[in-house]
Formats: sequence, structure tokens, C-alpha cells
Amino acid sequence: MFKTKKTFKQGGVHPSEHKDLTCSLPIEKLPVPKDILLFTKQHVGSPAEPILKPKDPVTVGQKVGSTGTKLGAELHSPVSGTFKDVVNWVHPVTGDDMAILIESDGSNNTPEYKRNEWKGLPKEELLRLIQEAGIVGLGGAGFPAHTKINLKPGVKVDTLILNGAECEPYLTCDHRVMLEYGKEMIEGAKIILTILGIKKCIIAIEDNKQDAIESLNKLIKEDKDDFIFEALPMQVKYPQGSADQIMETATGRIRPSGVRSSVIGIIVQNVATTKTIYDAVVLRKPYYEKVITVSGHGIKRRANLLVPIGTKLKDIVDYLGGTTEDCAKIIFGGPMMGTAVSNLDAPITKTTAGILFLTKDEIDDKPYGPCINCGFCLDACPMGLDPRSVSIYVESGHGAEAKKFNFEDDCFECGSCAFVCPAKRPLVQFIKIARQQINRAAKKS
Amino acid sequence: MTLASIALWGIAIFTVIGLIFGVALAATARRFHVATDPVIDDVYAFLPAANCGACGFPGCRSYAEAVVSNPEVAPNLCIPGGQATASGIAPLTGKTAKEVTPIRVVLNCHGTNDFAKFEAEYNGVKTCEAATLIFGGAKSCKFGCLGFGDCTRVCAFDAIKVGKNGIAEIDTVKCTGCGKCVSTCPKHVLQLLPLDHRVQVSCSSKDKPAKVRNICSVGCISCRKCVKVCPAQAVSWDGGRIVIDHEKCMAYGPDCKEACAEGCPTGIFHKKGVFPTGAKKKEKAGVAE
Repeated sequence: MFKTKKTFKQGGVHPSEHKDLTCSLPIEKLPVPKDILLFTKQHVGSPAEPILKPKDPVTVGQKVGSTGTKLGAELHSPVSGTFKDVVNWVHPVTGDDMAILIESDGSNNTPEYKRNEWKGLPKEELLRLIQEAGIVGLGGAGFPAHTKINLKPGVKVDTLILNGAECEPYLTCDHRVMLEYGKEMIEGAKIILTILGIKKCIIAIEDNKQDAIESLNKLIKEDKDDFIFEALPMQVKYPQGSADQIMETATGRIRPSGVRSSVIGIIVQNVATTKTIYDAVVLRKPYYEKVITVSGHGIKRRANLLVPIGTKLKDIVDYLGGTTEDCAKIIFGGPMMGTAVSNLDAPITKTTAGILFLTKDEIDDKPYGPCINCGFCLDACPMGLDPRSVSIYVESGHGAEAKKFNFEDDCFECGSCAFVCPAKRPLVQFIKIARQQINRAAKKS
Repeated sequence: MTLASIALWGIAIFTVIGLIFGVALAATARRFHVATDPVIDDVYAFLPAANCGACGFPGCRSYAEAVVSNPEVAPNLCIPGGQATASGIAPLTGKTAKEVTPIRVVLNCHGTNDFAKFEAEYNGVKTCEAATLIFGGAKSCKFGCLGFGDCTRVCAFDAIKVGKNGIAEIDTVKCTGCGKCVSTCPKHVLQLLPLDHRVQVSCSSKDKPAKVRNICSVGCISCRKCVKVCPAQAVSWDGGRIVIDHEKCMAYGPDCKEACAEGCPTGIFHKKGVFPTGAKKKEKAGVAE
């Protein structure tokens, strides 16, 4: 009668969702902004080299930066205008970095992207198209997509998981993509399946997105192709959308520490990445714009926006009518893993999923206290780690010795430990400090 | 058994046990005795016992051992001990001590809470290292002192403190120049200088002048007046900030009357101990307003 939905076994937390703020708002397109700032490093790997000279004209979708044969992703201009220069600009995550500045001419002359047949194209050609479009994994780290799905010889994969969990509170952009671009997403998944040479694809979605599950089920039923699709509803639990957790939920397989997910026969792709792969292969449209969620009570109007990559935060705030007076904190990304920014000049990057404007009531800025050894963080950690000990070691000035708790490979800084901590300890920050101190000690010896 | 006999038995048993262990310990101590050079103890007595590591050895004891046993280890390596220690150790080890230049640590930033602007509120772990990990700290200037006192915690001589104005303050009397704080500071604003250095630049910013003017009233605005006026060519510009060659400066002597410090429009290039007040800048700002 009553069946519990699948989820991962160890740890996890239940933050309040706040998704109702934006989940019913259709995707809007932001008007063309004046300036675009494209960081040369938007992904894992080496930074892209600018390939134009200052004052060169650029068109929409023109390639402006390339990483060549190195690991990385190509950069494309989202606007037509002039290539100004490479400048040092404020970065929402690293503080500052080199960025390509493009001045828009204000015209909205997006080329017509026509449908191209992709079935029958060789695997190498499909991968080349994905590489040319500069697609990176939109789930967070920004791993170049063409490298991820280009398996090394000898590696056998049997399942593709499309990650539609979107477990971060507030964010609804993946939800909207699944609802509005479901068909494109499924075709994108077929492209990945063709490249991998497999048939099985699980679309894993947290069951707070019932409408998305239903609409995808309908699309899967209508689908005539020879692929096995399954829309899998999962229990709502954070961090359901992390690769390890979603693989465990969908297939029951657990990745051993220190190896890639392809070792246990699974490739995980974010749903929005899959949709961009459709754009790249079918429409030959490079990845230069993305859907983000702008939410929280600190902004006048909330929205799911289709923004050009490189749009300054200021342009988005202006478009939505400005922040409210009691806005206290601006976060790039979700509230669990995102970073607070102090400058409205920070631009959107390829991996930004949302921007949150939080009021005083929505944040907790009380000072933290000493560890009371309650062990809540040990229960909450989805990877079974010991954030408590790491934090105590760092506090007493022995961060480098925290290496013995073996957290470096597995901790992905989801923030579950800090969320449950009754002493409000910034445990993720302690872990980051420990990482830095361990690295420094390793360099010294 | 009466109470008295219990007590007597107790005393007797423990006396016997004590004697047995005493003899055993004495025998082991003699059997496993390690012969140490008595000179090491004499040398050790001259060292400050702060174990700061400035000499390059793990602690004072290992330096004492090294300086006695290894003829290549110089007797003047103890920086906190200075000249007194060096001339004490030298005759004991049969080496000649070169003259020790006393050095002190200086802070190349004067961005106190009054002068420097903040762009964010920081609520995380209260150490400079932790704050640096998040956008380089809450201060608008990413090169300045953050004032969470990582230096205070490592100082073995209680010579550096974070005052009310939010930056580190150095007690030049207590400071021995061991340099432990210099290697700890994540912002690299601390620097070791000879005790009798003449001038100093209290700014480490590499930002463009326009930005510096906006975020700090005691920042280097890269006018490079100091570079031009120095008769000894001791001041140079490395493309980001001002660099002083203190050897050249001290060798030239006081004839120039510190023209560099006199000409500095923001007062951040200053004589030793005369810290910028922001006054010069404020006058100008007052006119503009």
C-alpha cells in the first residue's frame, strides 16, 4: 500500500526546501546585458587562452577562448559586440581571476539554429561537437563533459543516470528544465547513450517534483526508440544530488573511495548538462547561456532566468527590480554549498545554478561555540566521516595531523555536518582549513 | 591485627619496594649512561630556550648539539639571543662569532579599522588563515592585515598583539626577530628588517591606484615619488609595489634627510616608528567635499 521511496543509506539531512518560491515560474529570458565577463577558467582543467585581439568584433556564439588539446572547455561569446580585453575581475568563488571582457552592441541578433540529424554520426564526431560547444558538468565542479563521456578503453559502463535530484534548497532551475525541455533532454540522453554504446538510462528525481516526473513518464511512454528510460522518484533528502548518493539510490552500487564512478559502471550527468548536449549536437549551438534560479526573500521579484554566461549580478538585480531593504546575504549557488559574495560585479559562470538573496530571518549569523561532542555531524555525514575531530584538530592548531581521519578524498563539502551542528560550528570551513594545512605540510616534507 | 601493626607493616613494605626500585634505577642509569659533552649544557645555558626555530634547527637543544659537534655550524645563528648569545657561545665552541645584526619584524600595512574599508561581514572561524580562504577576508583590500592574530598565537616572546584598531602591533623591545610570525602570516604583510632601518613602507597593496584610493586612506597610490627622490637609488618599483633596499639606504646614511618619507603624499612611506595618520589624505578629501 504505502511504499517508501528509495534513498541512500548513510547520513543526510532535511533542510527546509523553499522551492515553492520559484518552482512554478516559467523560464524567462534576460535582456542582453551591456558587458559580459567570461572567466578563462570556468571548469576543471587548464584555463582557456583568449584567441581574439582587443577591439575584434564578435558575434553571438563565436568562440573567444580555447584550451586546445589540454583538459578544459572552449569559451563562446553570448552576445555580439566587441572583444575589449582580458581583465582581472571579481570571481564569485575564488575571489578574483582573469576574465575576457566583451562589450555588447545591444542588438539581439541570435542566429537561427536549425535542427541537424545526428543519428548515424560516428562517436568521434559527436564528441567533437560536444567539445566544440564548451560544455561542462553543471552539477557543481564543472568537469568538461566530452572528457567525462569519452571512456578509456577497457572501462565498461552499463547505466547512465540523469541527475535531476536538485537537492539544494531554493533552487528550481533543473526542475524547470525538466518540465520545459523534457523532450530535448531525453534526446540529449540518447546522444550520450549512443556515445557510450549502452541502452539504459535512469532519470533520478526527488519526489518533490511530481509534475516533472509525470511529464517525463509521459514522454518516455511516447518514445519509440530502442532505449530503456526510467524516471525514478527518490526520497527528498540532502545531499541526494551528489554523484555517490544518487548512484547508491538508483543502482544500489557504492563507489569505493578514490576511484571514478565509471569503475562501478555508471556515468552521472546533470539534466541541464544533457539539455545543453542536445543543443550542441542537434542545434549546433554552443553553450553560452544557462538557466539559473534567482530566489530568496531579499529580492523584489523572484524568477527562473535564462541568462548569458558572464552576466554581471548587477544586471540581474536591476532586471528583477532590485533587492529589498532587509537583504542581508547574497549567495552564489545553493544555501548548503554556495558561497556568499560581497560584490554585485561578480558574473555568472558556467556552473552557477542560482543566486539567493537572503534576509536576516533566513540566515543564521550567531557566533559558534565549542564542540559539545554530541556526534550529530557523524550521523549526518553522507560519507561516514568525522567532521567533529577534524574541527577540533584545526582549532587546536594541528590541522595537518587531521590527515589521519581520511576525509580528503571523500568529503565533498556538502555542509550536512554544519547544518545539524547544535553549536553552529562552521565545520565545512574547518575542513577547508585542514585541507590547506595538509597540503602545505605535504609540500614542506 | 591492630591499627598500629597495619601501619608498621605498610611502612616496612613500601620502604623495601622503594629500596628495590631505587637500586634497580641506579643500576640501569649507570648501565645505559649516554656520555654527553658537558659543553652542550654550557652552550644551552646561553640560549633563550624559546624553541622558535629561527636558527634552522628544531629547537634550542638541537642547535646546542649541532654547534658543539659540527664545525660548520656558526655560533651566531641564534637570532633571539643576538650578540650576547653569539659571543657567549663562540669561546665555548672555539669558533669566532661574526657580528650579529639585530633584526625586528615590521608590519607592512597600516589599514586600521579607521582607515581601511570593509566590503563584507565575516562570521566564520576567527583566524587569518580561515578568513583568507574566503575571498581573502572581509577587508576590501586583499593585501592588508586582517587582525585575527595568527601571529600573536605563534609568538614565543609575547611581542605581537592585535590592538583595538584591528591590526597587529609589534612591541619592538620584546620582539627578537625570530621570524615565526612572518612565516605564519597568510597575507605576507610581516617582514624582517634590521633594527636600525631608517624608513619603511606601510602598505603591501598591488592594486591599481584608483582602487586603493577607494578602499583605504593609507594606501600606496603608486605615485613613485619616493623612487625619484632617493639619492642612493635604494627605492625601486617592482611593477606592483615599492621595494626598499635597506642595505643601500643604511649605507647612504642620514644625509638625504629621508626625502622619500617627506615627499610621500599619503604618508605611508615613513620614518621608522612614525606611522601614517591619514592626515595628508584627509586634508585633500576635505577640500574636495
